[in-house]
Amino acid sequence: MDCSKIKELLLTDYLDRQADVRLRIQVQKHLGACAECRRFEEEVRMAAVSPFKNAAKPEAPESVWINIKDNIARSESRKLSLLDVITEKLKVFSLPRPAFALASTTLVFLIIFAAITKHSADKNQIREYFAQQIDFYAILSNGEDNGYQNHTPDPGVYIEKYLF
Amino acid sequence: MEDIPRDIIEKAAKGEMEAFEAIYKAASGFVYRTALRIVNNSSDAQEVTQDIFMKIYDNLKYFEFRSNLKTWVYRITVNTAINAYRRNLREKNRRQDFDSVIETEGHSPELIQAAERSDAEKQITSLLNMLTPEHKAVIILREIEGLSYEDIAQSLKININTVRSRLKRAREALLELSKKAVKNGL
Repeated sequence: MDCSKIKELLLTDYLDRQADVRLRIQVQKHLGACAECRRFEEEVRMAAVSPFKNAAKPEAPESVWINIKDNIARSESRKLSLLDVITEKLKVFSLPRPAFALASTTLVFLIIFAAITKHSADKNQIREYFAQQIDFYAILSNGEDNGYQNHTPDPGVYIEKYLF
Repeated sequence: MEDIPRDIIEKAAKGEMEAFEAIYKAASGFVYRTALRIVNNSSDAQEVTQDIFMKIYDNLKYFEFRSNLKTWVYRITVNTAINAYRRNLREKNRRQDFDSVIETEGHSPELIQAAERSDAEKQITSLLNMLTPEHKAVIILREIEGLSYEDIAQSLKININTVRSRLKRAREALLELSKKAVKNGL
């Protein structure tokens, strides 16, 4: 292993004890034989390792936790007030479950009933119209002048009600 | 930073303040120190610490235990602190020499006390201020907080070889500074 590779290891894995045993032995052998690399190792330890050995480890001041708790409380109360607004808006849906189910079922039945009723009313009207048409053509084919020509149609009974 | 039991994390995710306080107690030392070393100002570090714990509180419910909570906290801490440092740098256009650091530490009693207490602390502050935020972060995580390469890689979401190359460059920069200091008789 040449000096440049050894210096790279001295700056990283060897210095930080991240190198495996085999690599450490290789580096140590090289250091035993190379004065320049030994000096380099010493310089690196002095400049980049030793200064940090006695670094102070201050704890966060008490006020930090107090502020965090306050911020959380504020944030939670904001969330709650937003939730209140939404709940208020949705109050109409907040019936008890059985009552809500009953109301929904009733509404569905009403819709179905209305649809069926409308459908039968339409059918009755059509049936009545065809019956009147049949009567009319029967009178015409019999050639009877029963005064139909002069007959004033009853808009409530005959087809004319659709025309007038 | 010590390990946090899963049940504590789950309780905190449900909004239990006692559990969240346990997380705060386990992580706040690391978070505050790292923020302080990166932003280099006590009041900014306190603000960054508050931001980080609010992020943790808000996002804990999405934590799926696929990674370690510690790694997640390391990542949020470093990213938030570096962003704050860059924002402050833009705002204040700080000078990067040692004297200005001490001046701007006017409202930083912890660091002033530390600096008065120890020359070593002054040296650490001045050395870290000479590094880029990315190099500063790897040196803090490795030298001060003692994280392994693997933990640093996971925390910063970078390849382990990138951790190696950043550490190498950071140490080369520190070595260069030391040589200059010796040359100038400092």
